Amino acid sequence: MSSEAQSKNKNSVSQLILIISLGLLGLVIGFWLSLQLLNDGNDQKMPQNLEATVLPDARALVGFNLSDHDGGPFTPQQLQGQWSFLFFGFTHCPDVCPTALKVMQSVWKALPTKKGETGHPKLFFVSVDPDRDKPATLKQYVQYFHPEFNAVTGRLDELDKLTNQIGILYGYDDKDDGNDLEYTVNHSAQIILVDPLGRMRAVISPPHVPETISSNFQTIRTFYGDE
Amino acid sequence: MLLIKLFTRVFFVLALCIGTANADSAIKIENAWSPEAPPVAKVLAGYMTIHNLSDKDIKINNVKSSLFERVEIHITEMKNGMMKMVRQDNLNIKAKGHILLKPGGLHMMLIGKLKPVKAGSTIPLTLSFDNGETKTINLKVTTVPNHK
Repeated sequence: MSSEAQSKNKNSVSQLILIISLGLLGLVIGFWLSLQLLNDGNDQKMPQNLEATVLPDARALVGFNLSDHDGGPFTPQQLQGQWSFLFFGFTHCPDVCPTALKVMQSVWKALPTKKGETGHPKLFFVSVDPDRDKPATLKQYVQYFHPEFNAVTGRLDELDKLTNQIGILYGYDDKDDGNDLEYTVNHSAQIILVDPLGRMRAVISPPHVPETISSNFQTIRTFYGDE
Repeated sequence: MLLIKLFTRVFFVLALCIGTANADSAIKIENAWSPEAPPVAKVLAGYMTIHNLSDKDIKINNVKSSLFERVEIHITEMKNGMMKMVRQDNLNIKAKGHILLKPGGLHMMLIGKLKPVKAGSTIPLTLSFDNGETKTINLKVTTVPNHK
């Protein structure tokens, strides 16, 4: 092959590469644009960039009748009018429950609002161990973490009405021989965010990080509003 | 006289042995702490790092504390959508390895509190191992989580 033919050959190879590259670039840009358009559609429906799982359709929590740590009612009505965090556990829990409540203590310290102000949430620690967790114990337990925290519990059938709607599971291990210290409670450890209309709005799965919960809550609050 | 000398020697050698045994302990425990819990809580947790410096696996036979009815080792596991605590009897620490007890995972479950436990105080804990060693440590009770 002459050197002229060789360089001609090289040129056509370079041209081919250029054409293929341009074609690929076009494809990539087109794909990216279509993704952007699709995302824009979603942006209007749901807040983005959250660790928490936001429900596309908020789910009303209805038909449960429990009691708070002062003997007052805890029914769907107590979830109306403010954002609420729900956490399910028991006071004989050494690891998961105190860790979660400690996290929520940090979240409360970082809240931009004060009690009574618009947008200020409530926390309900729901004991799924009513046999051991009496109101007086629950009150001291939960208020150790923050004086604003509430604890609630009630009959198992009423607890089930609430947990079944949310998808929270619980069960007992070795609860048979009458010794209060002999059994433990297994339970889901998600923190549930309920909107001011008493509807389940988001699920926050462990491991729980205070800063993430704080910022996600403010994002969700801002997105959906306080009413 | 000779007998006394012999006794002294035997005693000296024995003392040396015990001294060396301590210095050569195969177990090292670090960063032992317990989060302060509400005064009504009857069950607390203890966290720490336990190192096995030896060439052989070592198991934890038993743990006890004078401030609690009993102590068990548990691991928090996610099972069927629930957090479940699974008791870990005779927990093994691999040769030259360590185990980390931390919130949400392995922990000492301190059951049946006998006396009030407050931040700033300590909880004595005695661990016995299957290599014959026994270690008594103090868990620092603190309100500040220590995730080291």
